[in-house]
Amino acid sequence: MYRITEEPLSADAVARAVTVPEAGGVTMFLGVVRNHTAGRRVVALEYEAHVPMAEAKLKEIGEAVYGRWPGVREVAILHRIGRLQVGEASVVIGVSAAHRQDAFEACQYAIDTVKRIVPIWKRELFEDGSAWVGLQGESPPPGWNAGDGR
Amino acid sequence: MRVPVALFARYREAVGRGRVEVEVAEGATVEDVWTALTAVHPALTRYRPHTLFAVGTDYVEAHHRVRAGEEVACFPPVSGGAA
Repeated sequence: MYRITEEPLSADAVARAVTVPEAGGVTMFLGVVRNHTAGRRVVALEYEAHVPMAEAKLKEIGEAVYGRWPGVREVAILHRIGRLQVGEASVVIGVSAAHRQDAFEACQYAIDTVKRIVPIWKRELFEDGSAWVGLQGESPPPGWNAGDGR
Repeated sequence: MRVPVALFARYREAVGRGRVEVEVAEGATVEDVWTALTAVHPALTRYRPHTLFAVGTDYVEAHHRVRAGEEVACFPPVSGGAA
């Protein structure tokens, strides 16, 4: 399950989707909207995506996970776009595996790679303005594909 | 040939819309598309060192040759996910 959506994300639904009889462990990651950044109060975040490319990259990340951790059984990565309030989930990742170590490692790899290669942008909305995240002082990511940078 | 260009985040805002078309010669590269784009929308020019390019659903380098019918996307470094 790889999806970009404007709808609220359900961690329960993702957990159910990746829970299969062959799995002994399920790891979930939820990225949620934080109420501050660099000392400023954040009131909401707005996410924008290149939707078809972002969904293709999510699938690519899932396939890289299966290739790298043969014990992984199911992977789901969902990212929400649009305006999100503090505390709402922007990304939900679920990984099931025969044994827990694979599930933990694969889930960490998945979120790290989402942040690196999936074309989604975030704007922080403050009480007195807004700012896109991620441009000043940044160079392009070291590798553009899910398999790079291992 | 006319090449559709998709713009996102602050690039979209700088231009005022998320889709534009530029005219380039047959055999043009993505860099040529960027040059044509910034000739019309100079507000984007300063972003070049940080810009990522994609064709379809894949990242491409600036020297990628654009074929008729391909859409080029130009955007800043990604910032999805969470903290």
